[in-house]
Amino acid sequence: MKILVAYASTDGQTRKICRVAADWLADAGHMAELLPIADADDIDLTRFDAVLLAASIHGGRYQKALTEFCAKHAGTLSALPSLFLSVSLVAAGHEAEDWQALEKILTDFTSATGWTPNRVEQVAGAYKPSEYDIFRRFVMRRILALKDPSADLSADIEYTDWVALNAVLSDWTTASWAEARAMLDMPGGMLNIAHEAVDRHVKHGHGNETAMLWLGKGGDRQELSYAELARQSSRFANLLAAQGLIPGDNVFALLGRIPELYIAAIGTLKAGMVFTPLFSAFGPDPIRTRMEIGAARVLVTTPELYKRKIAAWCDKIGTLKLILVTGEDAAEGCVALGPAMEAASPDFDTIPTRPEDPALIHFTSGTTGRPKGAVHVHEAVLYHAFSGRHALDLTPGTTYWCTADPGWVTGTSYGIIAPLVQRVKMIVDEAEFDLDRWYATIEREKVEVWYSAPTAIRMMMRAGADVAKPYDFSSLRFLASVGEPLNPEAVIWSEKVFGQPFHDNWWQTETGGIMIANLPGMTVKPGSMGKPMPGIRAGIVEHGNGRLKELGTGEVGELALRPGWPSMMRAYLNEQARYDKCFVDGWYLSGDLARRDKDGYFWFVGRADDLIKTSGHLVGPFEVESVLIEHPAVAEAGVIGLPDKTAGEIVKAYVTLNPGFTANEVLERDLRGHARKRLGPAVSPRAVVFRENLPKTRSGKIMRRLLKARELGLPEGDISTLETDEK
Amino acid sequence: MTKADIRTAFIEELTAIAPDIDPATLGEDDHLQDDLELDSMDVLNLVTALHRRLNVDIPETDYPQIATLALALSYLAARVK
Repeated sequence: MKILVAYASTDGQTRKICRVAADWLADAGHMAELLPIADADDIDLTRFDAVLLAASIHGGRYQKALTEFCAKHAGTLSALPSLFLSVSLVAAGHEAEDWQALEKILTDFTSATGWTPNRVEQVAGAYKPSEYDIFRRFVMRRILALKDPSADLSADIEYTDWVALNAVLSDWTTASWAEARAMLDMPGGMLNIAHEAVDRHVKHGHGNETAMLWLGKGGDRQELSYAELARQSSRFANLLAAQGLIPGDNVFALLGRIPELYIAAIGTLKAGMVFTPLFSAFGPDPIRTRMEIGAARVLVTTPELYKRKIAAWCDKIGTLKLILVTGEDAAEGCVALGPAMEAASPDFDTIPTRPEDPALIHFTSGTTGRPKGAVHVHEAVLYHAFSGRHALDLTPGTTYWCTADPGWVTGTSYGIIAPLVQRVKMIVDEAEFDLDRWYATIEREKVEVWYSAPTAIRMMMRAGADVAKPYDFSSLRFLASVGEPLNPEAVIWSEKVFGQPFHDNWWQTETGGIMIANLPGMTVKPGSMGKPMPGIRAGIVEHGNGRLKELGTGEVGELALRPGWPSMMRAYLNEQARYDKCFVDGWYLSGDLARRDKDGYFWFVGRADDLIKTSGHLVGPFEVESVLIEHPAVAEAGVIGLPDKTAGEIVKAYVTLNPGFTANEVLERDLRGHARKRLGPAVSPRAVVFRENLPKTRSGKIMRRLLKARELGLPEGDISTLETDEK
Repeated sequence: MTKADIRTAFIEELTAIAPDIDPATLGEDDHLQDDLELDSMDVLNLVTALHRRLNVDIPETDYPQIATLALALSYLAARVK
């Protein structure tokens, strides 16, 4: 459940105690949002299941602030199974008159506000961490008493008894993420993303509203209403069913930003099948690997991509049953989408999937081994709805442009699902980044919310503010960025040019949705990824003695999250061991290094592993190295990311050669050409250098870390495992 | 500098950045991104390389004007001194 913890006092003790309460509730798996009461005044209280309020009895004006707040919100508060706490900062043996004073304050409070909280209680708070458990026990007793008013409030309770606590809370309200649920239909207990994203709006009379305005490369425009998207996706679902495919089958899409992609995504989900988008700029190798791991049953693509990247090997994928190509004609072995859609009925009864049924698989790179397929379930739509509203300010009718490619998780979570669930008008541009085209699109289509990426923003900066001058950007009300850290200059620049700063946010394929963000209305600290979303608890942790230790303000460690939000991945496909490794001591480990400042903002520091972040894509060095060593000249390869002011990082490879090959420029080009053909440009090295030896450990593992440290002139760190050095 | 020189320069810089492109099969109207599969970083690197080699500034807004070999040649020919 979701609990607002608001404190009226600005003194450190009350805030500290409330922080303890919030942490404690989060530890128990609930979402606690901690705010000073002044900031809570404009908040929509209905999105909470409970409210826990606190003020020090020693501060008259804090009592006043609390009373005023409660008077103002009495109606809403009365509807909530609220907790009301007046935190009195007393240690054991406190004076009796203080207790009496507190009681009077509480009586006055009730008569002033006309609202009788479920329980009004005093608490013997604590100054010292060793006494915090007094407070925890207090909160626990209060919660139990809500369930059973006759409970003995004086009974001592082990505050670590999460099971008992959660039993009470889950019974008390089945509506965890209540606000997100309230945004959705979930007819008869069915939870299907496609229904919530499209059909629901038609059912509620919004079928005529525009779901998508598609802008073709050549200047074509095509509008698709929600009703039309519902019909088209139903045709697609019928088409799949007619081909003998069944719920649970894996449907892959290798498509650029064209309407068919969106129709296929929604149609697949309607049919209860599992949708996997692939990046259309991938070369044949990454495509094939992912289709093998994902046991692809269906591939939807274009005739060009099929011919160029698929035709040569698709008969080797044993699971593959159907290849659909866009257009009216199909090559041998493929089915043309045009006539097949025409023949299919526009009515389809959406498969009544359950919240935990798989819906999406997004591939992500690993440091070693093959790419991992992160499995997301239909319940993820709760978080898409929630974060779409709160992190991106998406509301019905908003004109919204997400520039991400649907081949990556952003392009699906916030390029398809979240915007449709929030009934926005999506702008979909088929073309790649093109400065004038982008600026003209914002002006002409009156884009209100724009979600883009640092590489694109830095390209705009390179062009300069003058190029932007002729355009009218007054329609923009919120800008967000994701992919890699957005540098402070870009934030400041965007404020100057667009009148709004880009709001950086942070999340991963595995998290399925935005976890840490500079939210609308929040003060942006340029260069920071922001603060954890409501309901999300993030920490900075460090490994030590087999346990995780949470670090304090300013310390650099691994960014970790308390698992349990709806869009969290449920598995890596067929890789239980790798999945399990992500979770330690009740934390999900992100693999990113970060620190948290005194105001609770998080700052990205780097990757904890060897993964490379380039132009918003996460590249696994192993996948690149594997392709390089398949070249006859290459004996060994080590791949790292080097800082780049536009792309964040660029991929660079170090190779040793087999006997008989000579290091020269021709070979260097040949290797890059080989990698580009196999991997595609986004993943391939931009530079290849030759070495006689690569630094390796005793077990023969290439020490990429050392290559990088040397390249950047950084300290080499612990090199005790170094066996063979670089030459 | 003749048009043939510019053509040579363009093709050399293009294939240095994207060695997977075969100069022999490169078509006049092949689109750098759509047909030749350059990504935006490649285009940026190409512009930088052309600047270095031909001393021509190509502002971001002009990128569409060098999107194919044919377009690029006429664009560059008008600007190379």
